[in-house]
Amino acid sequence: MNHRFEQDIVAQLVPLRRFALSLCRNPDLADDLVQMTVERAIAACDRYDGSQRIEPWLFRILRNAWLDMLRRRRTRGTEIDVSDAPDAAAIDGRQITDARLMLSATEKALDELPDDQREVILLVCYEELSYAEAAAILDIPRGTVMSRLARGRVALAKKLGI
Amino acid sequence: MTKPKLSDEILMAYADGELDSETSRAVEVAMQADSSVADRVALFGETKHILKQAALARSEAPLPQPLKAKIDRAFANAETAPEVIVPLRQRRKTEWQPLALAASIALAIGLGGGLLLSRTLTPQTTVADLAVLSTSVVRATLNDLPSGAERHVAGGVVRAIASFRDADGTLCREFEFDGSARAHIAVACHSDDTWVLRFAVIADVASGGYAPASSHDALDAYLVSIDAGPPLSAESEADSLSALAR
Repeated sequence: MNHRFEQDIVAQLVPLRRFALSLCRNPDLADDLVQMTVERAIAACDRYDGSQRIEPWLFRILRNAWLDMLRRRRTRGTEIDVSDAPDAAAIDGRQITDARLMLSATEKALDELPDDQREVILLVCYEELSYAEAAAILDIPRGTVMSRLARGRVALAKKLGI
Repeated sequence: MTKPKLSDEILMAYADGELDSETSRAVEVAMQADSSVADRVALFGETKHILKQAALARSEAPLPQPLKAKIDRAFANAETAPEVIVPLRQRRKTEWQPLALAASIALAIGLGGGLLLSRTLTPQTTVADLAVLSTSVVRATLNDLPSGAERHVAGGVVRAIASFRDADGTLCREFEFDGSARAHIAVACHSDDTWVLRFAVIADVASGGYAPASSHDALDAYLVSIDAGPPLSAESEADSLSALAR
């Protein structure tokens, strides 16, 4: 594993955690997802095409890790629902910071959107990935990215009174 | 005659700079002719802007220290121990061979919160632990238990997690087996009319009856290393399994 690869991953950790937090809405799970993403990326480093941007590759790994996590939780049935909100009573500086950031009107409106719309908005508008990159991450056609993104943004504008 | 209305997708793509120049010009012409088109484009421009602001505000949250430490360790481990998981070599003989498995498999034993990956278990422990994954009843269960379901068998519970195909197209199943003292996460692939164990993590059942979540990391690393395909849908899993019986 070369040093450049490691640096490229490290540079994406904050965006990856942000995306993870948006997917699972739980800081501890988000940290687990980021850690899993890094471990999977290291394990698959020989399959990373160095001529491509690393962001879409890493985001895709993270999203697949999330789907795997959901699948396992569903299979077990008895475990906690991962979409449970983080414990509001927890006195933890990190959770408080996350909670406060989530309170902005935009975040709140975004949070109320269906998952499929929220996901494309996060990738394109937050992480500034192209439509094509978002399509590759989500395994859907570019046209589907566009329709979800447009619907999501129209709904968001309505919620925010734009 | 009116021109066909430009879709929201097109107007949004214009605001996002994702349109080719020819369509962009068409949008610009429409914007000049019709202020409602311009308003619509502005709406997408505005949402782009506020989302960008929200993203900037959010990205100030720094990486939590414990996560940073774990990731530093992951990189350090990658430098010092390039091969943590050893995929079992494809054997010519199709019969179940716990002893051969024991020699070549990487095992993980859960220790409280942490996880110790170890290849230094005593052979006795290893064989005994892997044997429960090799019983005919477990193999028979893999033939027909749909993913998401579990079945009580002698000695424990088999829980089918997912089916997938490896890089060669071989049908493989990820499953868990919870015995009284140990929980197992395993992958078996179907070859020459039987299920061949390819990977296993054995964890002491400290509490709750499940292998610690961290043992899934070992599994994930393994799945990546064999280029495992995505989980099969319920239908294609059912088809693949019934094809085995033919």
